[in-house]
Amino acid sequence: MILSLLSTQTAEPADGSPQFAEQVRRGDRTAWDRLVGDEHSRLFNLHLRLTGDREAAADLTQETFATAYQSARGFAGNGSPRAWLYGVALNLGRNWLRREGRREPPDAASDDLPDPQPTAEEVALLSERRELVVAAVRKLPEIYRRAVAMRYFAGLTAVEIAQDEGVEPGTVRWRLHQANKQLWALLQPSLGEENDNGSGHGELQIAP
Amino acid sequence: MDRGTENFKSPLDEVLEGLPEEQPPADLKDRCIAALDVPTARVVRLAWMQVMRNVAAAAAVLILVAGVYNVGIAPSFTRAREKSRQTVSDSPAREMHSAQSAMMAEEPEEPRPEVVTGLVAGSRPRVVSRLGLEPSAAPEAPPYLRDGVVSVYQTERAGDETATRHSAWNDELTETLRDPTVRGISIRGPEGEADVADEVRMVQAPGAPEDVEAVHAGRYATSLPGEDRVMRSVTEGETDPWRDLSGERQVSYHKEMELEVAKVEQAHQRVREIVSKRGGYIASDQVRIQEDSPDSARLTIRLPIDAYEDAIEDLKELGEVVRLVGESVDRTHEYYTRGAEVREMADREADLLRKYEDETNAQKKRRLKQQLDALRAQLHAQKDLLERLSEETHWPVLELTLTEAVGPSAWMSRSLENSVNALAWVGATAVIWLPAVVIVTLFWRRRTS
Repeated sequence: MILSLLSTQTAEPADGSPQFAEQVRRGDRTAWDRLVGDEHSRLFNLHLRLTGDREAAADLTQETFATAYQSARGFAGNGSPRAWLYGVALNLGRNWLRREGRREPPDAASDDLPDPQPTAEEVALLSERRELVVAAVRKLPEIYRRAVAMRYFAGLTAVEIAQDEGVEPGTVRWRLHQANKQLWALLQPSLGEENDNGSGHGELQIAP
Repeated sequence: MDRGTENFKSPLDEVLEGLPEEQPPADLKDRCIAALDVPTARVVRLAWMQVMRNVAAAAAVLILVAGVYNVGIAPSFTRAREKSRQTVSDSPAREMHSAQSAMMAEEPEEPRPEVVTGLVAGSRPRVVSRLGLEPSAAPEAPPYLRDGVVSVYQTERAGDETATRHSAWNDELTETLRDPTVRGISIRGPEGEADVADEVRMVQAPGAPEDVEAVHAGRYATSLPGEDRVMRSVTEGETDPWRDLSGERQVSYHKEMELEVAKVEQAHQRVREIVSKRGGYIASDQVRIQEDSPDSARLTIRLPIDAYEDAIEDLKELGEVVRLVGESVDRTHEYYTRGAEVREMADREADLLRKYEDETNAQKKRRLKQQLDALRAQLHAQKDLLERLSEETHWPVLELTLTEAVGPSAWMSRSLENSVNALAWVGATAVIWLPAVVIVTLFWRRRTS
């Protein structure tokens, strides 16, 4: 206990603390090394899910940290540094898609789309066929893809996303709601095919 | 990670949150840390094909730059110049604000909000309910009322004196409103008896004495008795939503638009001008100007329902529309149902109030007060809901994103596309100009020989 009193090493600020945010904003190298250590894997997976290319995902991860570090002063410091970092990542991802010549999916009119209502079996099936789900996310219009990526791939809250995007939390929830509707519209036909090909998940199974 | 309570749940959460993560390359962390040391790190490897494509695009653009300029760019500059000239002259609201600002005694530290057609941009169209008896003791008042002078008048109980006092108020209010520093007037009941005052009104219409006349001419129905008796702004003919019996459709709109613009800063300034001109306001605003990434701006804009579509058309002209999505929800039934509920609760409140005043037994009086307080709490809640609903239907939201056109390759691609279009146009009209060129050339050669 006495040794701990003598220790001059100050405790590192917690990830979500204003002190950490300020360190990130000032370009404090220790804070940034820690940010890289904590987030590089999740950032890699975010880019991988959106690009489908491991090499591109690794390059984009590197570029995200480099770009964010160079423009750390641009981080206002009043939100989560993680949210800001993922915002930079998604901007770079979008630019990469445009350089690759990938056309943005057309904005589907989602007014008439039903709310997702998967059965437990369908949820289990989707959990197994993750490539289906990821492919559907990539087909979303950019604004919804971004909301889904920040919420589900980056693990940010609606408030953090709203702070970074500069919109109301209600708008973020509306976007997520629209995104889920469109995802369900994209996934449901695939589930219908699974159930029709005798995979054993359909309700009508005639025992031999 | 603890995501907390987000009030958003979806049946697909389990699927999306449960996606397994892949292991990144073993050296990725070291590469990322090393990338922090590179001052102008450009670590994305360009395929050699992409490099060749960019070089070829650059060469094609250089060759065709004269045709592009004549066909595509020069008319755009001309249109832009015309638009910029129009901007200066099409903003009477801004001229009004400039004149008003010039009349102010001193500049406040905070930027003074623009006054557009009597409403204060940046604030809600409704006015605040309560002000203190002294101008300085108004902590709940919004900044625009603190900056100016607030006059407060007290009423007596309704009775024979009311008519006389109204007449006296009329002249005094008219004179007070002529003072440009006065931003609002609050009229409260006698101190301690605000809930039984005859009328509580607030007028927010600087320099509009005719609106005061309208108020006293009974344009607005008698206020609901109760603690919060707030009148809407007298401008634009707004009424409380619970008094709206027009039966008009109430639809809430929510749109998102992304524009790709040449210069985000300039476009951002133009957006503010357009919004102001259309009588709207900017609820939130975030601009990012960064060296190593495209500039961007995100604005949450609220516009009057009558000007919503026109304002969107104006904004579209600032750049290329990358995305425009929207949703509309018909809230008509909900709107009028809630209004009827508020009126019904107000009637019950008035009835309870009469019983409370007439009751002499202390115990019964206490019980009536409890019922009255409970009813008023419900009434406040209903009115809040209805006001929010009214705001959604009368002031729809536009989420606008401005992004800078991405990098030289995108500009080159676009220029190349324009060049191809120009060449196609030249080719298509060749049947007209080619024979003429041939004839003129032959004629000229014959003359010179």
